[in-house]
Amino acid sequence: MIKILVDRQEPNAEIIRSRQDFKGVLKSYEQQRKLFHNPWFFGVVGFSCLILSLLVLLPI
Amino acid sequence: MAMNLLYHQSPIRLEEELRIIEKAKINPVHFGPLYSRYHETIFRYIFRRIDDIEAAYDITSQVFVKAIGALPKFEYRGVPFSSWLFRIAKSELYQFFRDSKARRTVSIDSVRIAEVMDEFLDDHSENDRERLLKVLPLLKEDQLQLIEMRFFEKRSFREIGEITGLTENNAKVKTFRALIKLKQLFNKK
Repeated sequence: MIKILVDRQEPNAEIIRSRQDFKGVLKSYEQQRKLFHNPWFFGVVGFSCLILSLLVLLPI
Repeated sequence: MAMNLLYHQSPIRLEEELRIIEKAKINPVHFGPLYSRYHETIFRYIFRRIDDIEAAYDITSQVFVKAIGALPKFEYRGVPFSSWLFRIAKSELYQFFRDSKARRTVSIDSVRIAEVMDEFLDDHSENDRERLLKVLPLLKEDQLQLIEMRFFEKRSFREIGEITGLTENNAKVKTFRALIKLKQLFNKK
């Protein structure tokens, strides 16, 4: 269900600016990049896919 | 209609922005000026659609993490960089709604409600206003988005088209249809 808020107070530009954290954004980006470039990640994903395919394709 | 200066950029500023983008494609550290420039705009877009300020800050950060990751694929084809960011923001926001079961929020100023009412009636009362607020959630999500961007956020049809992936003309036609639908719902109530 959609919620309607009338005349909701928005934080001012100064408050929003104080919440900027480019270093944090870069850090999160690096962490995500490392995860997707990690051979272990794809090893686990690949192995899971293989097991799933075998379970689906092979008659029990 | 007030001009969105971040959207309607001068050619010099646009050129400067494209130069920063090219540098940031090579090294994300150079993305900093774009982050500073668009952080508030993206935050406000998200904040108006969600009733949780901390979640809005988190989603905003995630939008920029995704943008840095996808930046090598960004090609300037006349569509402003901000529209590309809005599309990522929209996708992250809906991902959040799916994951958290949070409620979609529409934030409206009283003045804007009155402007929409002017489209329906010459003279309107407090009752009419309440009626409009009741029927707004009955619109389909894509129609609500168009009404929201055009009437509550005062975006141009060109900008709406670029954010939603429609042509300017198509955005105009679909917004008009959404307004007709809203009027029908309003008259039924």
